[in-house]
Parts: sequence; C-alpha cells; structure tokens
Amino acid sequence: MTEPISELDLMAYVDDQLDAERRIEVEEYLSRHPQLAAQVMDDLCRRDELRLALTEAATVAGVDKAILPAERLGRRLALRRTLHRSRRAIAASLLLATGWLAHATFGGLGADPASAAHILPVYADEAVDAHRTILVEERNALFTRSATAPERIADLATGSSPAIPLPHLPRTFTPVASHLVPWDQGNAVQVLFHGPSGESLTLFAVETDSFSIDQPYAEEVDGVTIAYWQSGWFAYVLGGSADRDDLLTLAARISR
Amino acid sequence: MAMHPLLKDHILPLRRYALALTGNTDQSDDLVQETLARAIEGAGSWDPRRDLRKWLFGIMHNTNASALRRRALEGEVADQIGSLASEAVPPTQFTQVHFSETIASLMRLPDDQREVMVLIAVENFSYKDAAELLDIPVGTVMSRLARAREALRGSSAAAPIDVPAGNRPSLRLVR
Repeated sequence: MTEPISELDLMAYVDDQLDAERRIEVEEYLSRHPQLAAQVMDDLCRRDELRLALTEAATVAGVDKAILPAERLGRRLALRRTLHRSRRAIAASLLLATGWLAHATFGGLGADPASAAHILPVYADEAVDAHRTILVEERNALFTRSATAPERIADLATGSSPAIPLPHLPRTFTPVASHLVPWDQGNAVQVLFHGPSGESLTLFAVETDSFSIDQPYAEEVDGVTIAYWQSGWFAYVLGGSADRDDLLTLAARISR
Repeated sequence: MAMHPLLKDHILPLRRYALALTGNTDQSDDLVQETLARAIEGAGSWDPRRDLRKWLFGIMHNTNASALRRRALEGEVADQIGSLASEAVPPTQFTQVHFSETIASLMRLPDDQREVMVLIAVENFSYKDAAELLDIPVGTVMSRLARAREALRGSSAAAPIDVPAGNRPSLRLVR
C-alpha cells in the first residue's frame, strides 16, 4: 500500500526532490484532486518565473567587477585541485621518478631532463595575477602614483627582517608605482615600470623559503610573458608584453 | 576576458543569489566581490572532492550574514527593511514590469524564507544541501520554504505547513 500523499510531498514534488516512483504516485494523486493540481501548477509556474526574473536581473547588471577576482579564485582552486590529484599520484610519481632518474643517468637521447622537470613556481603564478591586476588598475586609473620609493616598499614588506633587495633596472625604465602584494607565503613587492617606448612592465619580488641560484627562465602564462629567477633567498619575476627574448635579456642583465 | 573555466558556470547563480539577498544591484555587486575575495582567502579550505557551487553559496550566505550584522550594528537595518518593503526593486532596473513584480513579491518575504526559496526553487539545491550550507536542520528548511510558498501565493486562507524544527519529515526524498 502506498503512503498517503502529504502537503510536504506536494512541495517536494514542486522542488523536484522526489524519486521517480514517488513522483508518479503524486501525479496519480493530483489527477484525482484537480484543485490541488492547479495549486501545484501555480507553484511550478511561480518557480519558473522567479528563475527567469532573477536570471534576467542578474544578467542585466554588469559582471565586469567579478571577472578579475573570479579569474584569481579559479586559478587558486585549479592549483588546489592539481595538488590534490598529485598527492594521490605520489606513489605513481615515485615509480616514474625512478625511471626518469635511470633514463637521465644512463643517457636518454634528445631529452632535456631540466626542462622536462620544469614546473612554474607558485610565486611566478602569483606575479602573473598581480601583473594583470595592476595593468587593469593602470588602464582605469585606479591607483595614485606611489610616492614611496620601491626600495622603501621592499623594506616595509619584510618589517624587521632583512629587506627584499630590488635589482636596478636600466635608467630608461621609469618606476611608476610600487606596493605590497600580500599572498599565501608572506608579502611580495611589486613595482610597475614604464619602458623606453612607454610599455608597462612589472617587477615582482618575494622572499622564498629555500636558497637557490637559478638563471632567468622565460615563459608565457595566460598571455603574459614573464621571466623569473631566484637569487639566494629571493625570487624575482619580470612581467611584460615584451618579446620573450627581450624580456629574458633584460632579466639576465639585472639578475647579475 | 573569458571567465575561468572552474568559475564560469557559478558567477551568474551567485549574482542571482546576491540580488535576492540584498534586493539591490549595487549591494549585490559588492556581495559577489566580497564573496570571491573571501573564497580566495579561504581557497585552502576547499576540498576538491566537494561540490564547488555549494561551497561558494555557503561563503556568500556567511558573508551576507556578517554584512547584515555589521549594518545592524550601525543601526541601518531598520531603514533597509523599510526600503525593501516599500520600494522593493526599482522598476527601472528590470526591463519587464511582469518580472519586477515577481521579484518584488520575493523581496517582501522575510530574509530567512527568501534565502531558502532562492536556493531551492531557483538554484535547485536539494533540501539536504540547502540545510548544510545554511547550517540549519532540513525540517527548518522545509518549514521556511512552505511559509515562503504560502506567502507568495498571497492566500491567507490555508495555514502554512508546520514542520517541527530539527526533525526530518519521513519523506521519500530522492536526494
């Protein structure tokens, strides 16, 4: 025997929360109670109207302000998902690494182990985000030119600990603004420069938790050309629309 | 600029929810912004196996709740309720008069009923998911929803269904 149909069943029917069997029972019941059927139809109709009306209202209003933070959030979540997957893949990667080491040691042909193992550091990803943000801000005149010297900002970033040393760009590059960029692993310093032909370029500097000396490496990330390197405890990212080779040359020049 | 693939299907629903919560396009823009900012800060707490949409809606609910508390502290809440009830949504914001009345009737609902109504009727959350993201019992979700429906029907003849809070009614829910 089927359970009697209650008001709550009717509501759950409108909200599409019932299993197929119960839906059929509700429909069968409604066919014998035209007045209740009319009320259910009315509720369904009102639900659809609400969906349409709110969708229309939400679409009419601008979405521009959400694009940048949504992009930033998307990248964070994607990274998180990747890390989650990679944790699960640790066992597999250990096996792979063993194979890769054997391959590198015993002379694999044509493969460059360094580039095969190259992974974009997290700070470079953060620098790309910051680069895109400051360019949008610049286009929309959303910041005032900072009176603080870039070096002073670098001091502020680290408080009492040793300041982040900023490399000097050639005199043809004019500093326009500099500020702190808070991120997961502390503070970073970002300086916006204008190049010799007026192009915008950013320098992003962070303190890292591992000591290393790496040559500049150029890459394009989401339409932004970057060159990044590590010098001791500090890592740097130059970002710009410039040609990859030009940017790498500039990075090599200032990283020494 | 194209929306990030992970977020592209969630921004419009978040905007709908924000509009329903605030009843005002400027405030809803701010709410979406603040929700995204909090999500960026709290990205580390998102478990990739969990439903992203539910996580985002939960953050928006909490962000709005703290904004309301803030405004209440500032003594503005009375004005706000007054303006929601009297003006509802300015008709100029919506091109169709018909729709503006639909939204206006939604805006006349008390906050807690409106929120449940939108999550379930518009965003199609299950009763269980709505209860989890609002951090209330399923029974409370259903009784708020029943009251909201009753109010939207505009009839005072039938008494709303009373679901005891905390109890899950013995419904054969599919999800």
